[in-house]
Amino acid sequence: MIAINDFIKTTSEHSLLEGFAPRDLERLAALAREVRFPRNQIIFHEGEKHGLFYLILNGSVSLEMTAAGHGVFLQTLHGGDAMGWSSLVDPKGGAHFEARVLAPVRALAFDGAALRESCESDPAFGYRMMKALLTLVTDRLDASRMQLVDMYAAEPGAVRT
Amino acid sequence: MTLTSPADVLDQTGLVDPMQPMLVRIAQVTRDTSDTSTIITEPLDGGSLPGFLPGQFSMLYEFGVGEIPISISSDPNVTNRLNYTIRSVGAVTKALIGHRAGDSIAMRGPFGSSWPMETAQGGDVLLIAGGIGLAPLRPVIYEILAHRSDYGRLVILYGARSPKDLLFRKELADWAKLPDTQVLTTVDYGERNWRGYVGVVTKLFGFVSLRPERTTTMMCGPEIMMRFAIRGLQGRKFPDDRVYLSMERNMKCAVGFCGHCQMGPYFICKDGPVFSYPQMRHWMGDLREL
Repeated sequence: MIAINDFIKTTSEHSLLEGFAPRDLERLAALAREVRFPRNQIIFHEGEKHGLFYLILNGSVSLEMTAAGHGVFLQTLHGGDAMGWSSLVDPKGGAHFEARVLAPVRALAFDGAALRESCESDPAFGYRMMKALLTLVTDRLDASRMQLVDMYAAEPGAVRT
Repeated sequence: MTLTSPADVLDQTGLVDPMQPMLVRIAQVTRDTSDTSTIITEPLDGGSLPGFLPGQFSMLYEFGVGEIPISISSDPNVTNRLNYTIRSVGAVTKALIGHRAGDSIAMRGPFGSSWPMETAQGGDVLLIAGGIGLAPLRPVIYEILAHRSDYGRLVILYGARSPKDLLFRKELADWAKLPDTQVLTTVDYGERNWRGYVGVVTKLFGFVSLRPERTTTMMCGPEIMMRFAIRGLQGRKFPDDRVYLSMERNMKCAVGFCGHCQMGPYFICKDGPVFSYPQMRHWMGDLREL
């Protein structure tokens, strides 16, 4: 748990929490703990059921997955990004990617099950949380579509193989 | 003004004959990536090459194969040398970058509109490039560096397919060390040893600090990238009328007669390739290449 004043100060520039009411922030602060990860640490492995949702405050993280026997580096996340959102919507599923620290990370970690329970017990808060998550997921989906289009290829639009 | 005859074109361009190619010698060919090389051309036998403005292009003619438009990627302040950065995507491009020093090709031009260097003076400059789109923006960088005090901050955002597809890597690293200059690169797909950004170029907006109302944006890259970038700029209150883009279409004559590159009311070769975003707003995404 983080003191509400510290939480507000820490997350004031985090786009995911824009528009959240003070009561929402209090609820989140009660579930948050600050975590730090050094360079090269694996925060979670692909398939791991870590059950945590993270708001990255600063630093950078690579999302990677194994394909055809080697690692593919899919996206970098930075301060203002979030990761581990599948722990909120699919508690039984594992991580879709491996998250590895590129530059030392400071983040807020939330227990996915507790946050989900909080969303379910207060639907108005849950709606705001899911709306914020949907924005995040939409951005990721747009980015993935752009990668799929392979726009820098000699023949853009052909699906990457 | 509507050009109705070749004589009008001669008057407008000041060229002897815009349809008549001149022979140039290839001084050097440098490999940039696995499929892209830069050819450096120089005049034949003591002649001279025309000057150019950043953003303009030439028609390069490969004997017996064909003619294509290629943007000039060199320093506009260096006379008698024109560089063309060419990606091998077809018969003509493959032949052009297959040359060796001492070979000759033919060239027409330079043609087309240029980047708004005067408009940009006194403010910050944001360059957004994707893939080979960095090549037509490179003369802008040289021009700004040659007249550094005329401009504010220079920010270069560059996206490519993968780290090995990044053009001008050494220059990017050199520019990044200059004061008041920020260079950020991102790729669609990284490799395990890549330590830069991975993701769409618009993601880089979050890492730059500019004054939107005082910034001139120039962008060149795939149209889908430019559409996304414009959306990102609008979300950050960059004024539309200070956003410029370089459009690419199938140019043939380069002087606005053949109509191959027509896009709405514009001929990309004559009215462009550089347009302000308000000029292109209605047409981007609405028309596929003819």
